[in-house]
Amino acid sequence: MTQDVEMKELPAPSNSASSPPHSTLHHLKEIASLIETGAYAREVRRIVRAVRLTMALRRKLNAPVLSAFLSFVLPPGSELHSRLSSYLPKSTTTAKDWLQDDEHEMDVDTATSTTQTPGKHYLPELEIYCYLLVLIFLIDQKKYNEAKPCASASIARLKNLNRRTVDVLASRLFFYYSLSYELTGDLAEIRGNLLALHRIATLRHDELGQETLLNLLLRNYLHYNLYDQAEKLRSKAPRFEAHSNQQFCRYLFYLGKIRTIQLEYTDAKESLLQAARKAPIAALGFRVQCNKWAIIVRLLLGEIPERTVFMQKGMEKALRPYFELTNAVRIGDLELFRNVAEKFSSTFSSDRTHNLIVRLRHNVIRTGLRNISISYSRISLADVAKKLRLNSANPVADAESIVAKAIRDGAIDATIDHTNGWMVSKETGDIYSTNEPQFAFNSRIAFCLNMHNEAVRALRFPPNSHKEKESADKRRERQQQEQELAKHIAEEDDDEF
Amino acid sequence: MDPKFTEVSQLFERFKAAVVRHDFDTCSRFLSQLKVMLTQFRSLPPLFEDTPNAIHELSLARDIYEHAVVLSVKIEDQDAFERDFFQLKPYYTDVGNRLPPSPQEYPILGLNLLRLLVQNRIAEFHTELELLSPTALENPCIKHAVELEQSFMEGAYNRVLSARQTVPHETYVYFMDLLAKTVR
Repeated sequence: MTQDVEMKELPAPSNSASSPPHSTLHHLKEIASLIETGAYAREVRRIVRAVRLTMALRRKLNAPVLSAFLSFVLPPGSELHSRLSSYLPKSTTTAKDWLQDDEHEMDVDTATSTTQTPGKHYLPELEIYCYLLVLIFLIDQKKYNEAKPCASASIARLKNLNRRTVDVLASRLFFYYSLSYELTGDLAEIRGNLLALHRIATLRHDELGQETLLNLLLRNYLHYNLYDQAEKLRSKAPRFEAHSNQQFCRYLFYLGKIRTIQLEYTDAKESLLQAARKAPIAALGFRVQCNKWAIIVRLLLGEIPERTVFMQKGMEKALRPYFELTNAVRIGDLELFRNVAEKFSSTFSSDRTHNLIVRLRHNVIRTGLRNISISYSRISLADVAKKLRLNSANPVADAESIVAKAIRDGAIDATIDHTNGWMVSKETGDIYSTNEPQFAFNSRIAFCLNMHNEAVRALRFPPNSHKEKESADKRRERQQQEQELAKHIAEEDDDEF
Repeated sequence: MDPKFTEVSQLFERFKAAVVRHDFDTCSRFLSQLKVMLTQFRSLPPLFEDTPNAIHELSLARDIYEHAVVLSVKIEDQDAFERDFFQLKPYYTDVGNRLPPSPQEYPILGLNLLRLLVQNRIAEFHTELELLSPTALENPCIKHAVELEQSFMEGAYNRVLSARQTVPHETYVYFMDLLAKTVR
């Protein structure tokens, strides 16, 4: 292979300082050849792998390496080459040396690459890949204003390409396209464009693209709190088996957020917890966000999250305000709740959970009331108001109606004695004389049976075990393939976030 | 000035005069005429073309729809309210940065919140609430609706009943009456 030749050539002219960029360039070239073979063989898997390898190189990218790579892949002097290099900062003198240094080895490369791709015709896959590389580089360098035109140009090019092998690269490009606009704060501008892209992806049956774009659109809407539109889009957009775990996690998270706003707490909790669980360990920020929302939803549902939720590694600090909030709700102390909400109001509004916290007030009152009804068999409404610390002009009348509603909703078991102004809690009595234990027992048995059924369904049997034994050779081959696949999946989980 | 524009504004003046006279039948007739005429302006939603006097046309249209919303409250027609409000909404959200803010904006948004509360559409109520900025939440009209929802959830119905006396805007009375009826 050509790479081997380069390897031998390289160490000789380069001193120790320039050797790391050399190796980066070398890696990039390897990736390029991977994409090339993938494109010819129409193997999407190879391209996925190329993208993954690129992410590993991301930190090492710099301007000279990139320009060298561009001149390697694209014919120098072509329109695309000049446009892409114009985005790169003008390199310093050392970089120029570098380029010249690179020049002579380029001769070798172009010679070999022309044999691979006859007629100096470059592949659309490589073209898109170059866009992607430059875009990632610009975003990493925080040059968002340069990144925007670059992204737009690439998207314009993508619209005219219809190749399955480009899809993987395209979905990454969409992501960075949206990211570059988000970082400069004009996300609203590209909404129409994203919708058009989503339509194109749907027409081309590009499922990965659809998935990515749907998430980007949801993110776009939620950025401006347009929950209504987001929900409408989500319910209308086609759904299918998830292709990428990351995109599925994001989808679940956005879904959870929408559901929370629309007061469907049970569903919201499910999707948020699932998102938090599915997210890879490396994606700490994402998991913290998921946990914050999940905590609030659980509080709104009247559950108290366990202490371990707040003590997860690396999250203690971020979840601190929510921990204190939970504490206030658990005790049912309105005063404490108000203090916590005030103390962390800036955190809550930056997390955009402020309105949800306002909704929690009602739960605090409920918990407080339940505590009172447990501890007192008879208490005057004035005392209830005092204990709940209702700050209003007419606390007794307030307390009366609050207690009345709580009784009606079944939160407490009591009656109001209007003439004397008392709340009389009913005797709990012997719970074992009722049907209650039976119900509890029944639900537990149902849960266990369900779990057993699920487990049976999830059992895996070795393939073809009932048919003739496959030859030892074949089996070894298959196992190897499986292992490779498993490794790929594990790798994929780690990067990207 | 564009002849069409002057025609619409003249009709709008007559419409406003009718509102002052409390002649609601004439008002509704004028209003449907106005709405038909508005469709001829190309700068209005959903086209949003950038014509030279787009700003004038947009603000006139916004004015008309604001009046339509208020009128629908006066004739106590909830469906018409919903329709008119949704037509009005793009003027606040999509072209809000191009027009000077309308003094009617917050009262009308508050009115809509109240309507959702009366119709017991709490999920939509909260969705609308998320769209509002912190400054909007400080506005007495909106605060009124938000506080009502809270007392409603807590069950402090006596507060809901007493809130009728403290309405920030005269148009709120209709919905408050409906709400009071629900509470009882």
